[in-house]
Amino acid sequence: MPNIVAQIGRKARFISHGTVETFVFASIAFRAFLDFKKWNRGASFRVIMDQVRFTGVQAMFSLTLISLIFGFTVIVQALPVVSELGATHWIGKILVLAIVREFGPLLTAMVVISRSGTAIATELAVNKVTGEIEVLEAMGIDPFHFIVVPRMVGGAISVFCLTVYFDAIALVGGFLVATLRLVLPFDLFLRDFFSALTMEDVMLSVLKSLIFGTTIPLICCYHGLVRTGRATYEVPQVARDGVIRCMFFIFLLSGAISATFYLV
Amino acid sequence: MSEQPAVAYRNVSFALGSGLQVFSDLNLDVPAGQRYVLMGTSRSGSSFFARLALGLYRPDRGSIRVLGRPVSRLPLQELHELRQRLGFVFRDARLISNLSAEGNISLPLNYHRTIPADVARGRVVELLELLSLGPVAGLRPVDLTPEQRMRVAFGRSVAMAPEVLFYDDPLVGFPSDVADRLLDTIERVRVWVSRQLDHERPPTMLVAVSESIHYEGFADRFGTFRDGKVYFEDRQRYLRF
Repeated sequence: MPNIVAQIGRKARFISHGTVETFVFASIAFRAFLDFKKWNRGASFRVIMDQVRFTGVQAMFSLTLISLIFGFTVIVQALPVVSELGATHWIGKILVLAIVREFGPLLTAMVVISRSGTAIATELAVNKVTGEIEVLEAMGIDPFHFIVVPRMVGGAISVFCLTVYFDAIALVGGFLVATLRLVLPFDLFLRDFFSALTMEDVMLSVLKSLIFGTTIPLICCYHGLVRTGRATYEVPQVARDGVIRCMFFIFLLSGAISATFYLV
Repeated sequence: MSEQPAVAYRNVSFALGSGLQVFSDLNLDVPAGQRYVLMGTSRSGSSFFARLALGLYRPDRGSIRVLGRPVSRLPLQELHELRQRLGFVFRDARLISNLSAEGNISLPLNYHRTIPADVARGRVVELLELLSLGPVAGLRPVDLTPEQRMRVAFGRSVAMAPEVLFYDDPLVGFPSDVADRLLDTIERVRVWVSRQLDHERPPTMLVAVSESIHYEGFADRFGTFRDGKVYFEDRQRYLRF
């Protein structure tokens, strides 16, 4: 029994230490971000472009399928209820709630974590093990300016664009399903949707996508750069831990931002 | 009054986390403009000469001055600035794997942007030609031969026209003919850097090696590194052991 308690204690200390370190890492990254002249350079700009291509453009196919199925599912679940109540115009409200406010940014973030988050943590962990990070430092290249901040900027641009894309495709998917059960003209469907959409919803979605887009690369960079030692067997562990921590923080942030917007 | 050495290790002690004592009260001066070859055994820790001088590690005791600056006491920003004046080649080339040969050579220039873009571009083209890398400039490290990778590392080390060059056993593991070609390349890039620096004195070189055979006739000064100290210095040859 004492062994189990000690084990739990050690694990808790490990997790809390990691969380504190993550915040320290984030504060250094934020300071580096404010140093605009240092990271807005040719070499760093290329990293941003690569990140946007990998995180944003290459994720579009998988995100299309997920958003279509999600839009379809939301309508399949909601339509019988609103039809029974004779309130088909509520479809727009439901779509705004489910897609724009909550699941658009959240599911986009999950796709980005599973694709790019693992890739960032793994790539940086390998770079550290093979000594590439040491080489950058030896050249006087600050890893925060060259690795972390460009990935955060690329991630924010990508997640923002992907969230807008997710919302649009989910709406189209939802509409296609709605037409199977309802005689609902597209313009009426759009009118219902846009009349339910408020500026607050748009701002929430934008805010979430930008925060998620910076948080995912930040946490994965932390795991790749700080949590990795010098052995290759640590690489998959680092990637796994990075993804888990990312998911935890994204759900936490999503809940906190929604609560701040709609409860406070 | 004698001139200040380009690199000076003073009473430096340094141990690895595993407890292995790498340097024990080590003293070493590398005069400016000289090619200093330091002979150690394999796994003697000689690669830490460069790492400590670049400020990647801090000594447990003692001090290291490079170009008159106390490396181990410099704040990070000043250290980054000093590193722009230093070049290095680690023994396994250590190129950035997702950049092409040209991208690796131009990386420090593109990042630091201390010279105009067209001058930087000219430097990279010159280096690619000097290193016979033109046909493979667009290839990534994984597609290059070990010799080409080492040439790229030489190019990257001198792209910023550094005043001091640290080489960590750059010829180890290469067949004799390739090692001779690489040594010749080291000399040519050194001459190239002298031209870029725009003054008579060539860059200072500290080369840590584990095999002596290729370097006779190359160095201005030799030293032998053993048991954490530099034991012997000679202008002509190594202390054999």
